[in-house]
Amino acid sequence: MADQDPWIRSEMGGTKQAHVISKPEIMVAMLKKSRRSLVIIGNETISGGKRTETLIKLILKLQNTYHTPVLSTAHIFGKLIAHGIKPDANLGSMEITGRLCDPQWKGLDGNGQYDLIFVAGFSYTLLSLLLSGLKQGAPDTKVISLDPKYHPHATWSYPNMKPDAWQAEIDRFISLFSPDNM
Amino acid sequence: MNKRNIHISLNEAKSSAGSLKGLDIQVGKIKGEFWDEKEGPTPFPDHIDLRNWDRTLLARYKPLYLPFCDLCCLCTYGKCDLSGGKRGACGIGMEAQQSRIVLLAACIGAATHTSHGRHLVTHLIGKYGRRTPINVGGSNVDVEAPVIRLVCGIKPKTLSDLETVLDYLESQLTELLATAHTGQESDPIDFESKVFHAGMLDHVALELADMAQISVFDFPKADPDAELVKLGLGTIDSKKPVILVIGHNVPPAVDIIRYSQKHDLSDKIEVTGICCTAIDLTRQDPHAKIVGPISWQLRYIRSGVPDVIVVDEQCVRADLLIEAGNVSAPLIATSSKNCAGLVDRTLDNPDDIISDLVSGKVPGVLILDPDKVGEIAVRTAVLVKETRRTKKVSFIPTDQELIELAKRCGGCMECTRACPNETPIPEAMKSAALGNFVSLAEIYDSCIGCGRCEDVCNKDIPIHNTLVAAARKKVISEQFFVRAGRGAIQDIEIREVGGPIVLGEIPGVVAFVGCANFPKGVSEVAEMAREFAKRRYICVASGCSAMAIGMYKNEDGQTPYEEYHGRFEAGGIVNVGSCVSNAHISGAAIKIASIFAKRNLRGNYEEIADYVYNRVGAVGVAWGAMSQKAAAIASGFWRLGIPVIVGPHGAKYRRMLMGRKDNEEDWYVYDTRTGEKVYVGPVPEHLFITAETKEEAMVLIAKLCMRPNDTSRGRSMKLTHYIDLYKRLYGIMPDDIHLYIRSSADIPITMKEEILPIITEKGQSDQIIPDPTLLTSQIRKRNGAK
Ligand code: SF4
Ligand code: SF4
Ligand code: SF4
Repeated sequence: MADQDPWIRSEMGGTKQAHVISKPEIMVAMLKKSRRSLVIIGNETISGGKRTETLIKLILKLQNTYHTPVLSTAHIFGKLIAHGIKPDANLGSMEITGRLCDPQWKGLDGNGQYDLIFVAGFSYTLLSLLLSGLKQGAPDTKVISLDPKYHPHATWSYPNMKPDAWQAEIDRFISLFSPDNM
Repeated sequence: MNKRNIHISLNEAKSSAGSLKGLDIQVGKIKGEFWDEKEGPTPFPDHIDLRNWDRTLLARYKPLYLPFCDLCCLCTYGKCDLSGGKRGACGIGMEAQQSRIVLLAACIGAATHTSHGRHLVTHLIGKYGRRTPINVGGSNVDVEAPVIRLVCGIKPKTLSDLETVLDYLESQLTELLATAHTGQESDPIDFESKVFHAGMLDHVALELADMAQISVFDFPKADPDAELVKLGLGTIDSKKPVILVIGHNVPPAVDIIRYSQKHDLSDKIEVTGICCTAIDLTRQDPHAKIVGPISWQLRYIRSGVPDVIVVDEQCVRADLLIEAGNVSAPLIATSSKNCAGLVDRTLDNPDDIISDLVSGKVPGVLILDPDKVGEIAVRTAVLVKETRRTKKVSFIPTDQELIELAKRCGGCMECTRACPNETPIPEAMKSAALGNFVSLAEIYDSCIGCGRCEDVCNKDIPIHNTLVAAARKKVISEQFFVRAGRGAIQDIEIREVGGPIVLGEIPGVVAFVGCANFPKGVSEVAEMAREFAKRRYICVASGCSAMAIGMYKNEDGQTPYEEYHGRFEAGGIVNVGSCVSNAHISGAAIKIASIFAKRNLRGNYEEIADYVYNRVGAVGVAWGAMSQKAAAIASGFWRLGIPVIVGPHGAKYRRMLMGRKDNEEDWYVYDTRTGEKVYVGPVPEHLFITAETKEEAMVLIAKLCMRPNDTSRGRSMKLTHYIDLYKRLYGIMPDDIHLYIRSSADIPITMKEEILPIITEKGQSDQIIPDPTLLTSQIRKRNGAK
């Protein structure tokens, strides 16, 4: 599993490939630099197993530490509440992608566009297209894919990873969260 | 080829003998019949004629582009990197390039249906004559060709009239295709408008093709009680010689049926089909059997059951000659569009052809005469059945073989990485190696039968076969029913539901259409259709989606077609037929404007599309849309103002058309009575959107059925379904209800207590319900003057 092979091998990105997240400090630095960040989570966030456990833990921490707004897509809002997460909004994955590509969009709270997006919990091909839409339509927005599969169209992406290794990486990321890092 | 040497057109001529109006003569034919309906502004329109309408829609529903990659590689200037705002060597930008790709897809789709229509019409004229009358439903269907009337402004009476329509389609499609050449169109919205044009043409082609075949063959003619036909691998008697037909162009399959009937072989052979040829075959002969949608090709062939495989055109696997060869089943190709590298034996002696096929001297033949295909397929099947008995023809492993195969798996994950649905094959292989096939059998349910997993397995495991083996019991129990494709909707049905639909009291018409590229198997389509039939929407279906609906049984063992009626009225599940029958769905919407609202159809596209868009709460759901044809079909619905929802794989069409409910200024219409601009809320919110899950799709269906014209009673019913589904499937109240409530009369009574506080908080004021239009031409009174 070479780091920078797209997980579905035919989903090659083109000329600009995502940077591989080699250490979580990168993301913390980006969070610090960001004026407006947003987490977008798709339906596979609640698909169960290690993926759900890991993502729920991460999102809760992000919400609690950085107050990063969370947007859920598809139908998972109620199920997230059952997991202790109250998303700030729910929109279709295409709807939020469209809005992020519109420089005039006022954001979920009316305070303007976002400059840093975390995404996770999507099927590979769908996320690949959403990321490509953002790459072309919102070129100045940094998009970080947190799923354990390499996504060339993101700005930053985890490499292809086994579930345990990915969970450990997310834990390392969480361990760096602190109000001082804001 | 249709020749037009002389064409005389007279608007009006008077003489002492009397007067003539609207005479249009071409040598060899009289176009249409006398028709006293006033001709609208756009008979046989060019793209330009409807460009303003397209731009009006596209101003509301802006494209979101989702490119596969950063590059364009369409000409030798390239490859060009279009990412980050860069332009190609020809000057094109990414948005225009993506819309160009969408146009190419829509053109391929529309050309495919047009060419299919041309083949059918030419064949049927050759066999039955030019003057063969059009008859899609006898006296039950006066408006026999709503799409052709609307677009072309003619009333076709004979097969020959359809040639005029084909000429128009071919010239228009050539022009559209030309605009995709390097250095032509540059504006994404103009590309999109041309996509709409291709879609509109596509629906003309669909209608034309289905009208021709319904008129000539023994298909149900607008029959709501069309027979139930058998569907599923478990319905096939493999002891008999079995013929499999695959594709979309039904004449060869019809001639197989006719030959077997003529030679008293009907009870002695099984004629089975996959994809739309199967649907059309069972419209001709309800005793024929449908195996399943396109995704059933590999599993059925590899089961060894079909003795002869007959392919025509569209959505046929490109490796069928190899697959057929592996199971010693001769392949008969029947279309010039899919020659499969085979020798053309159309003019050869049938005995010689059959001898070559049965002996295995040739793996297959190309025969372009449907009559001859009928004879050769039947006789070959009977003979080859015997020779195949001594050969290994099934490649579905036994349980023991399956365990051995599974033990080979090294867990490399390459199969999952190649699988469009990312199925967890390696884990399932691990269990299978220990004799537990449950997980592999589960994968069978969501497998679309593409075979990509096998091609990448470095342990040479025939993965798809292992899934079928693991699911053996399920496969045998695939015994379902689907109602044969009924064709058109009767005028009287439209008369009865037109009012309730336009007023919103039938909450919507939901069309389940398109291919079988489903994210989680066939069952989701059936679940959606049942949900909306239960809620007394009108559900219509076609093609592989119509089959998918049938592949489901309720607690009483009934399929949805047994559980729900086939009438075009509330609570029905109406199978109109094959891909080309989709025109009866757009046709039904158009007929509402004509039969219920008495609007003129003749060459009057813009007005009717505006009517449908503002009043007819119809939504298309193409949950497994895969093909370019599906893209063209969807485009035809868009131009008519009918939204389409696709499943997650539909995102690969690479462009959505979405409205923005947060932009209030986008949602004004004119009130035709006053000319005033009136806010009507985001209805329908989108024209084309991908849903991630079936739950999201269901909520979207309910939402996208709302229209500005809904009465308060109608709106409150539609809202009841939207809110109820949202709460049940999302687990919360929707946060946008206030956008759909125009006055307190719209609030569903049973939900008043829940909704009132929301409305109070969001500060909703009373809005009038206009007589809505997007067209200034439809305003009856302007600035106080009539
Ligand atoms: S069509 Fe234009 S963008 Fe595409 S390869 Fe040619 S020059 Fe480049
Ligand atoms: S054949 Fe089935 S399991 Fe294999 S890649 Fe295709 S969909 Fe996946
Ligand atoms: S590709 Fe073959 S060996 Fe690799 S995990 Fe899949 S089945 Fe096993």
